[in-house]
Amino acid sequence: MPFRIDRLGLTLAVAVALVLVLLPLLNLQPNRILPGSGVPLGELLKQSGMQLFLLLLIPTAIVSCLRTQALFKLGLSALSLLALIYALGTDSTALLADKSGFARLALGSGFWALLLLLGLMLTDALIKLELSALPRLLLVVGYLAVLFVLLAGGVWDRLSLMLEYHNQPAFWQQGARHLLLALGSIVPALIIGVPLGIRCHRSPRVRAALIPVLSLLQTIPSLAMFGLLMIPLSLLALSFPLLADLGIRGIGVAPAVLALFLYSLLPIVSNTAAGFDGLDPAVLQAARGMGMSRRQMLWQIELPLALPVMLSGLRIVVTMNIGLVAVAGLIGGGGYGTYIFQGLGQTATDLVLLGTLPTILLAFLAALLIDTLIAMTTREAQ
Amino acid sequence: MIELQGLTRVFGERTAVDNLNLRVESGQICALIGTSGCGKSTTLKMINRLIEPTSGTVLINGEDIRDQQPELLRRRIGYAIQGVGLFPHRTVYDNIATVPRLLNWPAKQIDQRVHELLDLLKMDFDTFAYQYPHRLSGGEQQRIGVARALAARPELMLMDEPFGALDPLTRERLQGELKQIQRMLGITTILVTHDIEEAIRLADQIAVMDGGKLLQVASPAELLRNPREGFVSQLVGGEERALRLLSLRSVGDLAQPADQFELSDDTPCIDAGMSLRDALARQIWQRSAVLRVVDETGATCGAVSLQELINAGGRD
Repeated sequence: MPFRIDRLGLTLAVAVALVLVLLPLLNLQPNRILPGSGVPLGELLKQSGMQLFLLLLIPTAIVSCLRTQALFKLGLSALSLLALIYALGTDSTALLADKSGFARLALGSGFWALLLLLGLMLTDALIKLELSALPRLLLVVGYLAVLFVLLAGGVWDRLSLMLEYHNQPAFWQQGARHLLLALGSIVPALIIGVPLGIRCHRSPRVRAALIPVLSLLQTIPSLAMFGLLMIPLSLLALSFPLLADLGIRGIGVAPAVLALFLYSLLPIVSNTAAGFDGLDPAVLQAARGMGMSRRQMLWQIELPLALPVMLSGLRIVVTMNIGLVAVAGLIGGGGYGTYIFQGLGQTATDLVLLGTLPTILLAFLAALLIDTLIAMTTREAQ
Repeated sequence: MIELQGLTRVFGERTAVDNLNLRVESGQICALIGTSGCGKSTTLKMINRLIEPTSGTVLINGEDIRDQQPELLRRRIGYAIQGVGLFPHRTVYDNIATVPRLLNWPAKQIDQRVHELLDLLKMDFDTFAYQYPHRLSGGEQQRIGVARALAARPELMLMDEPFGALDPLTRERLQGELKQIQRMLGITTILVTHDIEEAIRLADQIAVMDGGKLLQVASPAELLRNPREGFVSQLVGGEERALRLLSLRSVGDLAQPADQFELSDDTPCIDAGMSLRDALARQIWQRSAVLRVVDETGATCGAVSLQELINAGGRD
């Protein structure tokens, strides 16, 4: 059987080779803040970890160029990525051996580029595998769990990113707070937005009045929104000290949650309305004609059938809010944004990353989770 | 029995249904026929109160429908529509069980009823009960639609162009099944259609509507023989009128004693249950002016000649 070339795979493999040659995988910095210089590839290749990684990477790149079993590609690229992470960790000990105590090794542009390219290979193979939603979710979560175990086991403990992590005892509390802020604004937005969306579906006048207002809210930049909310909230807190005791103040959690709540309304309202608009009139007529009450129609027919579209609205809101919570770190809202702004203030890139990476990961996982839900609800309904 | 008395519905400036009076006896099928926008669907929807009449009353077995809450009324009336409207997120079983569940039947009774109905529509329980509607063909979906409408043993069945979206072969087969089931259960049925063939095939009584007004109500034979001038005559008239008349009667009805004809072994046969229209077609195709009429066992029970067909289908 002649081998056939996979064009996307070939492009990715070439890019991987170029990245390895041109970009540094690791940067050696004299201390936490000063910019460093890339560790040359030649020096890296003397280390055992990197050699193992290359040993895996070469077959991965070759397989990626060919049209073969997706499972094969998936396995190889997944292993390569793990090997890369492992290699950079173990080799860092050796590389830092003769350096001063302040010297730090940071992940370089080459690493991020490789992460992206291998990630694309993984995604491509995963799509070609054509798994249904739930097994796909389990596979991704399982892989992330392996990465987590690697990091928790201390592979990267000599790298600057993990040094920053160990400096932040509140990392997990900040994560919980991050999620709490994101979800805490979404739950009320759902409670208010879904009924509003149904109203919009039933009454064009309500829709004409409401949607432009919500759209306008969306266009306010988040920082400006926080600023706008500070004034009335501060006044409230001044006039009613009881509220201030409850945490409703010009800065902190209150303006953050309120702003995120306002941003959440438009996607929820408009997707709810769109979900209801898309219902088959014959189905509704049949339901009514058979003697369902308004309430029965809503709960038994309309909501379940509109659910996939409503969930895709929720997906937008969840990913958007997880990102926006990071901005709330600036006004003392807490969450991973805190690290981003502290890191910016100290020009400590790795502290910025310590805030950014988990934020991205949270958004990614949330989106994946909702995608699975959407797939499960549509498969039934179809 | 159902009676519509002076039923009128006005939408803004337009009178959709204008002072309509109609009476359908128990166990009969009445077809409401007319072009689109003639008010036939509006009339139907006023019977289960999906649309409230501007004036007039509807009596079901002498009871005014306004004496009952609309939801409760609708649960007593079977309703099947074009496009079926099966619930896509529910299995065939759950679709059929809709109205019994609204009426809080015990689960065991519902289960029994779903089995009965699938049997009645000649659909295998194990194959179909737990399928989702999108897995079914158009004809199967419509069958489930009918089963769902019949589920709670309604006293009245309303059908709004139920077979409109089906291909001709499937449509004909379902029409036959519907007629059989309706005869068996004796459910009073009102059928909205724009297809005169369908009305003639199924109905005991045809009500022709145009521009919101009822023009003529008659049995199919009467309508074909004596249509009112104008719209009705256009609707049923045309060259096919004779053939439609023939299609209303069975061969057995018209068969003469066999000894009046010289039948040979080569004389083509026809089942007594076929229509006169089928008999004529066979005579032409077989180039034979006489057909031997046979019963289900294949025994000769008479004969039918071209002349009798001409007499049966021709004008008075």
